[in-house]
Amino acid sequence: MFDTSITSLIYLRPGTRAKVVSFSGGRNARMRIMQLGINPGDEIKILSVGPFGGAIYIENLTNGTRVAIGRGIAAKILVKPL
Amino acid sequence: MRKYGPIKIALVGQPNCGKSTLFNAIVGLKAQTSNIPGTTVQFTKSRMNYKGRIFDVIDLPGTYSLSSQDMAEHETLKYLLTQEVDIIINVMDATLLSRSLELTLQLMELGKPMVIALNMMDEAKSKGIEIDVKKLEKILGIPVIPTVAVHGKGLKELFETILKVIKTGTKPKTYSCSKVVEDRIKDLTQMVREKIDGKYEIPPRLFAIKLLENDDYFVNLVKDYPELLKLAEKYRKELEEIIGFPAPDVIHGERHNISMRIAEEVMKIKHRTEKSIDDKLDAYVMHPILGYFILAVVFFVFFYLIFKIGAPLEELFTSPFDKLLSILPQRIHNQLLLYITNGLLQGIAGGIGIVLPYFIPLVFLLSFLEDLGYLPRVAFLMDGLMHRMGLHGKSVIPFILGYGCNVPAIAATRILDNERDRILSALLIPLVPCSARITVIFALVAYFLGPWWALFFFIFNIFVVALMGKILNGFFKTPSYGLLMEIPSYKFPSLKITFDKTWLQVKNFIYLAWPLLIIGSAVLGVIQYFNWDYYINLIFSPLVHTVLGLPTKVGTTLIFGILRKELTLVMLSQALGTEIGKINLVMTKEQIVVFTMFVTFYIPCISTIGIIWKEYGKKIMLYSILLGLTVATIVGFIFRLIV
Repeated sequence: MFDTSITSLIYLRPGTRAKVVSFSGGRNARMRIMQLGINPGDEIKILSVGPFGGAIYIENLTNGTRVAIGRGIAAKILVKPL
Repeated sequence: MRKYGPIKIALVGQPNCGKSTLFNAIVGLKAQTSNIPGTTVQFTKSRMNYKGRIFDVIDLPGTYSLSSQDMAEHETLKYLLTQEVDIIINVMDATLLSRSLELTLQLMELGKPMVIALNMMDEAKSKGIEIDVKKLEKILGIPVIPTVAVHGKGLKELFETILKVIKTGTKPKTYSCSKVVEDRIKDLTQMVREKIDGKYEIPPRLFAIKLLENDDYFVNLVKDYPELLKLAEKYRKELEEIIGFPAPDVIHGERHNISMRIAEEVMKIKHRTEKSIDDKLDAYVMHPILGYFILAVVFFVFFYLIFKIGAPLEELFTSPFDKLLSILPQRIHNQLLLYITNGLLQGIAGGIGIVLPYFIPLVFLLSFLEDLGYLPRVAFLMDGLMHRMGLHGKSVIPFILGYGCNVPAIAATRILDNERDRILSALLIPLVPCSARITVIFALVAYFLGPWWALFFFIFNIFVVALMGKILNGFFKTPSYGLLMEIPSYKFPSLKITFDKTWLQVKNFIYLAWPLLIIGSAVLGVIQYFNWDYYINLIFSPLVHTVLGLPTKVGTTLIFGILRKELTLVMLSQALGTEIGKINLVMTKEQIVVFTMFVTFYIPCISTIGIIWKEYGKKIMLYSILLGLTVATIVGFIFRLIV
């Protein structure tokens, strides 16, 4: 019943691809993520992860946008690795 | 539609869509920056002429959408609704069509004449993207002009279309959402039309959509129409139950789906170029280890160039002033007048001779890096480190500017997303040594104690700024969102645009910082004339002598330092009656370390105080001064003990 493969973005290593499922977290953070072009259902690829608690650099394969996301927000993005 | 008077054009687009490039291409140097009334949201505007018709072009800040969460976006929406705007040019990045369309749909809700500049068509072609422009026009009901702003392509056709649209006054169609949402919008629009139509010049449909999005600004506008609010609340609840997402997300989802559908219909991606230039470069630039080597090299070269260009320029500019200053005494016999003119000249010399030679290369190189697309990547690489300071990656850019001069750095904090990050950065930046203080460090520490000590000073400075960031972070209630930033594709910046941007920054410096420098130095002249410095030394002696263990005569140098940082050196030598080169005869090595430490951290120069007051108000300015003083005293005292 419960899809155990859904995890948080921060656990994925560079190079993996995943589908965005949903966002936990407040309305502001959620709205800002979507305005930047990352929406539930998009397919993304993790390009790089900054060291010592750094940000995560992803490419949205669906609409081509590339975004850097701080660890705090990235933890709230739930994805399904492909 | 007004027949005479300049036609008001508003340029609206998402960040990095080439909007400012388009603006600069059609307007050039005449642009001045100004603020949306009552806000610190800055936009540039300029007047231009096309075929005899005068246009006022306003380049609004880049926005991803028109929601009220983000202050800049909210002000842009209010500007478009309340100010006189005859036509909107929606600049779109052709390589990011579907996301750009989400903003276009919101602009269509405004019901104002619109033209789309589908920009960066050259980049789209290189990425194998083909767009059926005619089909897009038919779907949106808005003329779409392909442009390549950086080469000025398509601009003539753009203005021909603008003239046509102005004449016909055609308004864009409204897009329709899926049935379950559309019915509620129509019903709410009907009620809005009945209740408050005409009260605000806001199209009823836009009003209804904003109420469904629970947008605070619009909810507030109708707070004395309870039935309207009740209906909006009812529909929001229904949408949440039916679709399972909160209403604002649903409305966003509608626009997202419509944009995706339109993009799929008009866009064909011929061959997905396996490894675009961005991928190839980013493999190294954004690499968790290699990226930092590249970062270190880039900024070594960056500061090396600044000081390599700065030093000879400083020499070149200050020598005429030195000659002038030396012959001044023979010309002017009235002593007071002599001191004042001497002060004025030094103020002018300070601006030209010391700040401009370092300031211009710094601002130029930084806007070059920005247009290249490298600065956002620096923000990514520095995010982990900046977190230690309670900030996030994006605020590293104002800090870099701070090494050149704190004034543009404080102005640059405007790019940060929320109030909390802006204030915290504005408080920390004055602790970063500006080019004037760097010259003091080189002249004293490097000269007398060797380069390794100077390097230690910079590293220690970063440590203290980070520590203060952590401490001050505790005072802020709201946590920082953290970094959330688009990384644009690499573009080769056009030098003309970089020059224009540099010129705008230099103009700001000349209008604000320089006058303060000149007045400050004149005041200095008066203090010297009446030799009040004796009393100043007295007032400061408890701090200077007992706490820091420095010779009391150094007190006046601290005052002069506030008026102009570079003066600290000149005044130090005068106060101690020796040249800079022989200071070590009068001050021990420890005293030099303590003095330089103190000067690096304490009250920023008067121009920085001026801009903090202008940008953040009196309270924050006082905190900044207090912070500078306390940190400088504590650090000075510690070094007096351990060195």
